[in-house]
Amino acid sequence: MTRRLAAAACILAPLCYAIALPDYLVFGSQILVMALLAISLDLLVGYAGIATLGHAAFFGAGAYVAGLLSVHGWGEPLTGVLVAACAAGALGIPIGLLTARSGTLARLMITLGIAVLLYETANRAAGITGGADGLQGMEVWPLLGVFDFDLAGKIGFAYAWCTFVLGFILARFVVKSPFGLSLEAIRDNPLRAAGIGIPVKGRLTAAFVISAAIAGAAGAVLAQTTQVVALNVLSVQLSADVLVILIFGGIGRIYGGLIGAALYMGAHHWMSGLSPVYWQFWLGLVLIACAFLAPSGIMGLMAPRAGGRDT
Amino acid sequence: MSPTLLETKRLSKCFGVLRAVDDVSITIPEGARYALIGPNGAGKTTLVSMLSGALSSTSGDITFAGVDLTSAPMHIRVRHGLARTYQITSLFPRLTVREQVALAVFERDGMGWKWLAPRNRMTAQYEEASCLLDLVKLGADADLPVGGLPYGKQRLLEIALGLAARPRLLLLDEPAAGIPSTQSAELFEVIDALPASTAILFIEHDMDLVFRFAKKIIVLMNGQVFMEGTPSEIAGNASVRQIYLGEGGHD
Amino acid sequence: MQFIGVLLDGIAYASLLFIISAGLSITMGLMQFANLAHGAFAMVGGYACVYGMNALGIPYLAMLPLAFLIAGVFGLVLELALYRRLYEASHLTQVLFTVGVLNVSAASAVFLFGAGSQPIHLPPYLQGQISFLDANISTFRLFTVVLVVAMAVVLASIVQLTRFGAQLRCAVDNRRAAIGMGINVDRLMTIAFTFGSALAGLGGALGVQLLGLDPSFAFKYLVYFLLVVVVGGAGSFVGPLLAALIVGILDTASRYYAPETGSFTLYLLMVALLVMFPNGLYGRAR
Repeated sequence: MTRRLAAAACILAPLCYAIALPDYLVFGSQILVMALLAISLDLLVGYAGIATLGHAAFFGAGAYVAGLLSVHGWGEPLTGVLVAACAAGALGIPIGLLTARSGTLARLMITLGIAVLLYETANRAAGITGGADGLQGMEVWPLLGVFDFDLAGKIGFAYAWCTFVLGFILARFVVKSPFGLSLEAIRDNPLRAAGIGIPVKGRLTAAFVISAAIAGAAGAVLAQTTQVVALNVLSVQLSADVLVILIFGGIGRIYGGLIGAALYMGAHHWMSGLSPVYWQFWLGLVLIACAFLAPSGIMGLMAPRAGGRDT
Repeated sequence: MSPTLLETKRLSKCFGVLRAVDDVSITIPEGARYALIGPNGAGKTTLVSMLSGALSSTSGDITFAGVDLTSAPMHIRVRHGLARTYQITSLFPRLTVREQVALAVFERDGMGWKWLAPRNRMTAQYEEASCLLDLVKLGADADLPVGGLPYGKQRLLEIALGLAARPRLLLLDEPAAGIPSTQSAELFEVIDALPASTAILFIEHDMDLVFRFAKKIIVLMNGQVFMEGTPSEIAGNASVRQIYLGEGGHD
Repeated sequence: MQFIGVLLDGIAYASLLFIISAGLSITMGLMQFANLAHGAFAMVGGYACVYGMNALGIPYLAMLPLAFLIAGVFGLVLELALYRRLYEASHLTQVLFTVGVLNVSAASAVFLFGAGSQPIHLPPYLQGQISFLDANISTFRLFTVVLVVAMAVVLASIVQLTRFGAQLRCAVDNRRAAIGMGINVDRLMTIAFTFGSALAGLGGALGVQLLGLDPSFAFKYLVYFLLVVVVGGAGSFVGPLLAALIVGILDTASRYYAPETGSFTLYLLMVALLVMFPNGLYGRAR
């Protein structure tokens, strides 16, 4: 019951934000996008036990696919998100297959390497992607043919919120399914998982595909609401940021993504306003403190979880 | 004589120059209660690992229920009904007792790929898991996380986990390892009471248990089958007594 | 640019990567610690070197061993105070912690020395070029390579010939067995960490000229250091040496001959190598 309340709170909290801070809707959409990205990462890191430093690859792939679609004449947002999610999901297949049998360190490096490869590719293929200047000239059609994306970001926020809620619910379904249980088993003991009949490689690859598709959708929403795709959607920095957000909020608890994103981005916004160096310094100190005091995240401090499940 | 369930032909495993398992050809019929014994380093666990797919064979064939499984991965063997437990307890510490048995049931029923269906609505599987736990007398611990379970109970859970796959042959690698002898007899009572549709091959060092529960015994020595026979044949064989059972042999 | 010149540039670059990463390889091999902040110790050495020369007027050749010492002290203090408490923690906690160290070190560098990149004025005898086989070779690059080769020989001798080295090799092979044999692995780790940080500091001081030095140094080269260790195989010296040569020469060559591909070839090779050798070129299966 408390879990349901937490889920409901997660879905409704962004609406309270919108009412309380109507002038910061664009920022709010960005928080929601990052939260969705963190949730998708949680499926991999928290449930399947796959450490990755290259999650931006999927996010960026989704952003560029949605961006390129609208630059080249198809600005319909919903189909754009769908195509982007499919493309990112497809990218998850080779990455999943390549890393299914690796150890943690090799996995971190392979995912990092693939993300950097994509970054370099996008950087060099400036003719298509706009390179370091970013992809300009997106024309996004009105949502459902009716609601035009406005400068104040009202429609953008509503759109980001809907995508977030859908992604959040999807992730919860995955986590509560037999498939989700098998991911947790693989995380705990991959050899034994195979011993009770779980096809480990196939499941991990499927986990990558689902996670990548959600990340791709998040990227597409960012591209469509900001109408530009910057090169840093593929950056290592973003991969590291989202991992930090997830660990802040708490791994393996789905709603950790939203809490982590809100805290992280809120603090970033506030402290960068004072001085970017302050932000970096205090972030560093907080990360170090977190590693010692709250390795299972901010939420872990309040509610130590039993058995690592969300039932 | 029941029909053959598992047959190995000239199965070998080499680690470098060491032939851990050497030309082993055995057959196990349906519903068997077989024991695999032998001194330390005889290759018992290696053989079980090869049968279960945890280790690949250097040469030889494994046929199970008429299907060639020599190079099949572990999860395929489980799907065909060939499951095992481990000598060193190997479970999923962060899941609850019921949940990991249910997990094995899901996999057996081919539901492991269902990624959008809530599992708490799958009552049939959870009920079966509860039944299996009752069978191994773990019903009261079903909702505890495995990590905190006492060792003896983890051994029982190993067996429940093996049974959840509804195997036609269950390989038990020292099921009573590390628990007091009073409890190990109890554990074997549970094993003995398993339905006849499940054949069992177990590794065990306690000769009293072996002679009590095995209908047939395979003696492994230096990776080779030294002898195979009923408990009375084994107990009556002078060279087995001398080499393996020693002075304190079973009478 | 002559081929031989590119080759020497690559080898000089590889030497720096190796000397900075060598300590990381040992600590990662010994404790499987995911240390993303190793570059921070190189940065300590680099800033110490520049500050000592520009503000205090200490000559370059005296600054190199000082950078080694200062970075070593930093390593020792951090190991005793923080790192050792996390050896048993999960890889993710270690990532969290070391990313924190990276951020703090970058911000501290901005506070203390400003955001810009640091200039270094090499002594005249290290400037200029030497002609060799029709190619002009920079004296400083040659100096770097020779110094690193000398350090590598010292390292190899320590690991192969001393009692400490034997204990270290034993502990990397099998930590539990080493503890069982009465080897004090914690102390071993402290020494290895300190020495590794010191080497990184020396590398950082040497690298100011070739790698550049600004507050983002540790972030910028993070991938390279990890690359060298993970591709080479944590716990060995030969593996990272080989990997450093591959990375250094390939990266330099692609910059000269195919600048439009950027680091693409390098990362492609890295992913391919890691897929083929998941434990690194010289790593053991774990």
